Amino acid sequence: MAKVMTDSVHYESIADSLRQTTGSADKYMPSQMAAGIMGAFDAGKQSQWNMLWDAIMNGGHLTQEKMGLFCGNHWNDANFYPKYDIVPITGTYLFKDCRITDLKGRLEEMGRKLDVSLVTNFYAAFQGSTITRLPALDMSGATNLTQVFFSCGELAHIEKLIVNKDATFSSTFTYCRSLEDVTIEGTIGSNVDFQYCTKLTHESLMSIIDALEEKTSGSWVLTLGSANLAKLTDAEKAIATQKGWTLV
Amino acid sequence: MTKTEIRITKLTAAQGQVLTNGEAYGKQVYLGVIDSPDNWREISQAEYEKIVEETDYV
Repeated sequence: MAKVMTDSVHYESIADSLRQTTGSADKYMPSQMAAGIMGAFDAGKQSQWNMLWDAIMNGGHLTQEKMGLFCGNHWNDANFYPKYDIVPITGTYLFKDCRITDLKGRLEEMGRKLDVSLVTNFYAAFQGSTITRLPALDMSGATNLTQVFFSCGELAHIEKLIVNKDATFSSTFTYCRSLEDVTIEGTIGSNVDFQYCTKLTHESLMSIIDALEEKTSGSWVLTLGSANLAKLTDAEKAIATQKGWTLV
Repeated sequence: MTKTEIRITKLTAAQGQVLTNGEAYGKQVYLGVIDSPDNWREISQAEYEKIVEETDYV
């Protein structure tokens, strides 16, 4: 290893720079300077992170309509580290086409919540994303669930969906070919199609059937597809048909 | 001992056919108690595939 000659002037210069950068009056031994430099670097990163996320999330006050907050394939696991709870007013395009994977895991890691209880319109909220796991979503305030999970081909687990009986489910789960677990809370009051979700567990299917509204008139169809119908006994199918729902 | 009677009306499409009520499609249909077989008809598999192909999701 080559020897480098230095003197106290160099160390004083580095220490002055560190004090200027950090705004402190700390004194540094030469042996502490490497850690000091890394500390200043990390503090800089933290400061940048704070500024960025304050700007993205309006200082944690998402009170105005902000459509497609995390929409687009530039959002991914490398940059999605939310500083605040996510409490959107509109759900339209919220995470559409994003490349985040385990959204539930990342929110837990950051100690953040996704609270969608104020949202009334979820149009294409997660459409085309690579999300694999979602936390509980309180959609009880929403009446438009059109294409919410459309083409979420890697979505396997939804902890819970709390739904409103007046909500419409147009193409909500179309092409969700990996979906295994979903627990429905609330009431399903309009036609819904799970035919592409051929991996749904028996427990998930029963959760869906249990959530069906009792109907006394009209034409109501729960589309499960042949793969899912084969997982149900006649007695289980009859729970749905007795409620006035036709199973397809 | 319990006695349970389960009554379900099941429609099964003929070979090469698909059942539809104009909105939903399937080879097998388990009718809800307020639904009627009259609401369902058969279309050919080719016709069904054409409909799926032309479906414009909104």
